[in-house]
Amino acid sequence: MPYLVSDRWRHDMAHGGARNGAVPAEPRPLVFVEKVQGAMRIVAADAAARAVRLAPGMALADARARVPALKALASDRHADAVYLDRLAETALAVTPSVALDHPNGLVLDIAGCAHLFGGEAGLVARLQALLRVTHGVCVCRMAVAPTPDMARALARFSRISPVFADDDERVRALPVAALECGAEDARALRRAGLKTIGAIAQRPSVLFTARFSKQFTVKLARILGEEDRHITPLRAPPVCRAEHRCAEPVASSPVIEAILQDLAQRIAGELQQRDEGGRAFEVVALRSDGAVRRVAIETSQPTRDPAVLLRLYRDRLIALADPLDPGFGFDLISLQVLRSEPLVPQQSSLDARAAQNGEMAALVDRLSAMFGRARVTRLEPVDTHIPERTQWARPALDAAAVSAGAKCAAVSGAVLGPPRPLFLFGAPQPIDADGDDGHGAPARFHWRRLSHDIVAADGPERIADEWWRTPSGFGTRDYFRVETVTGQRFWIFCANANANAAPANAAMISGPQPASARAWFIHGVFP
Amino acid sequence: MLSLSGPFEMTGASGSPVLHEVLSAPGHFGAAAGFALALAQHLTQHQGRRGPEAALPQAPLSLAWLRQQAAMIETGDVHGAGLASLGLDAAHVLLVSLRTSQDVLCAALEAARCSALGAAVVELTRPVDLTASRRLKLAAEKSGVTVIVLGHWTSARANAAQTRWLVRAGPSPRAADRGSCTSFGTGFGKSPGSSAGNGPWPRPAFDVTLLKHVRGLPETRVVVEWDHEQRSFIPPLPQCLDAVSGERPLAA
Repeated sequence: MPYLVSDRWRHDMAHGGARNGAVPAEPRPLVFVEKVQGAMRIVAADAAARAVRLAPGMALADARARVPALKALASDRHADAVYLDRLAETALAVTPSVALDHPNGLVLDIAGCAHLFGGEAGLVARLQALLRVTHGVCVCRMAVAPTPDMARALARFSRISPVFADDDERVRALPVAALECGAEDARALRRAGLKTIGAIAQRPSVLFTARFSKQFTVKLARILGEEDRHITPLRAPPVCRAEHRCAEPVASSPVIEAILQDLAQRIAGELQQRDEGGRAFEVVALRSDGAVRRVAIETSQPTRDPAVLLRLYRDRLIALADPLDPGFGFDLISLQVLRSEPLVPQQSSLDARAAQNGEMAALVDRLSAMFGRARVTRLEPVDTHIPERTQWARPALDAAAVSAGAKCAAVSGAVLGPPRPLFLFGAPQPIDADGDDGHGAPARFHWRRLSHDIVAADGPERIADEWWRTPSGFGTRDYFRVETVTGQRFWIFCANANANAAPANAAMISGPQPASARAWFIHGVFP
Repeated sequence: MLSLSGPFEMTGASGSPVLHEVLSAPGHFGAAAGFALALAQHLTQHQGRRGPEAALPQAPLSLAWLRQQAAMIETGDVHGAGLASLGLDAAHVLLVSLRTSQDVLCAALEAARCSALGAAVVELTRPVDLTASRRLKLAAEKSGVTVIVLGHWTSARANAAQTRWLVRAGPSPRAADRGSCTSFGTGFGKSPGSSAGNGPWPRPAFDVTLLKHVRGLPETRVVVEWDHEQRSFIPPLPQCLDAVSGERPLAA
């Protein structure tokens, strides 16, 4: 069965020219160089450079001697990778299962997609047109074959393009280099007189396993189509998907929403058959010029209600930084379910607690859709006694169910230990404290250009650093809960409290160090 | 024990105030926030609530606190243990941090429409105008959510808030009794003059002024404390005698 398309780009021209938009065609041969073992060597060459026989691996000095009018640029592997990712993104318009085939190709799984484009030839033509128009890919060699390795070999080493192979007859005609084994193995095969893959295939494979390695034989089997492997797609294939192809490009939002309503109902039917509800959805819209627009929606409880999905989609659109601009219109709108969970119809309980939870979850969904999931959080306790680390804010979408075994002791009404401030500064702010009341706390302190006189102080409460974790930077702290003349209550501490202790005999004589000599910080504000 | 119930008494089936405004004197924002949270708990407990939650007196209050990022830089982040000290369960508190005050009002409207929420504390840096506050009030009346607008401004603006409070930090009674520092060197020592409550720790005290009440109560100023176990306001004994007038049943 037709299984894969394997493409290969000569992207040296592509990433030199099309990335910058409208760059005039470079008349001179273009090569990309990189420093390899002390010498500048060519790593990629464009069509014009290959025409004058400049190939990767040649030293730049030799190349310049041969072709003085050469244009050499530094190779940028990161930009190449980014470009390849964008090409993969465009290829998702054709099939949902796309993987990168390093260094400069893509592998697509087109099982079941070919009929939408009128056969494999139509699919290949459409993909080529898409890539050329959107990203300026000039030369693109394609091959369709039953297994990914066969397709890769055909795309890279066959003389014609595109190649449609149903069996291994074409592969047998490929040269031995298509196996892509090491240089010594290739030399050994050449010396043995084996020039094509077909010649190798005729010999019993035991010989090759003994002489080379098991990997060699496995690779051979894969290329011949005897063994198959799965590709790992870039994006996990969706759980289920419904798409709508528009007869003519659609740009107005009421029409888009009507289409989405229809798609959501189809998805709801499919999810109902599986007794599942979706938790993460994605609306993928393909513009007529090939660009892809995505809108992601998440819910905290599995759902398949089309009304809920439409509402969340509208909320998310409001919050998008760049609007969903349709350009000349959308050709294809699809709704995918990325993650699903079992959803059984719930009986409404007598105390209606489930309904309350459902409403809270709906509120969390809506706020997360409107403002982003990181902005709607719940506090979760962390097992540590350093005050600024005792909690972390978890996005409320993840904390779907309120955990019954929460470590918070307030449910029973008893607060364990001394009270803590309502507000805590993430980083304690330094204050100037002076005076001393004789018990370790200062008599007044200055903070934010105001002077506060202390009338009462509780403490000290010593909180030491946890030696098994990264130090907090303040050492052992002595906390005081102080109240000022105006009634405001603050939580201040003195850092490195144990380091400031004078030696024992000196302390007995002169007492502890005055407050102004120690480093004071304010950490929190009490109500 | 005397319980102050004049302006705090908000019972009544319909027409009970749902939109409250709490302002803070400059520098006393911690006290204002604490009072807003205490008020939210007090109102949802004693107010006639709709739905089956009224039958559960000790059910944890689900509260949504909408903050602005600019305010968070100035006052600090909310501390879960601090919420527990006021009587709230941090697992039932939803914290939303937003960029602009327009976003906060938008989110407040959403929260006010959710009837599963007990109370919503909306923290803003700019005063709420009449139309926005009226929308909030209508949404809150329909769903039964208590909305408390916590403001960083001090001058009152005309809006649809049904009560308005100005809060300062009140002096803890222990300080008045003692007059100087206490419990030193021994760590968490007991102080002899502390009022009963959460052990040796004094209850948070607020100096509140009622600026506006929908029932037309006069402007009153009183110092109250918050008992997080009983979830009620308790005036400290020396000051209850000059406390607010108005209908106030003395419950012994």
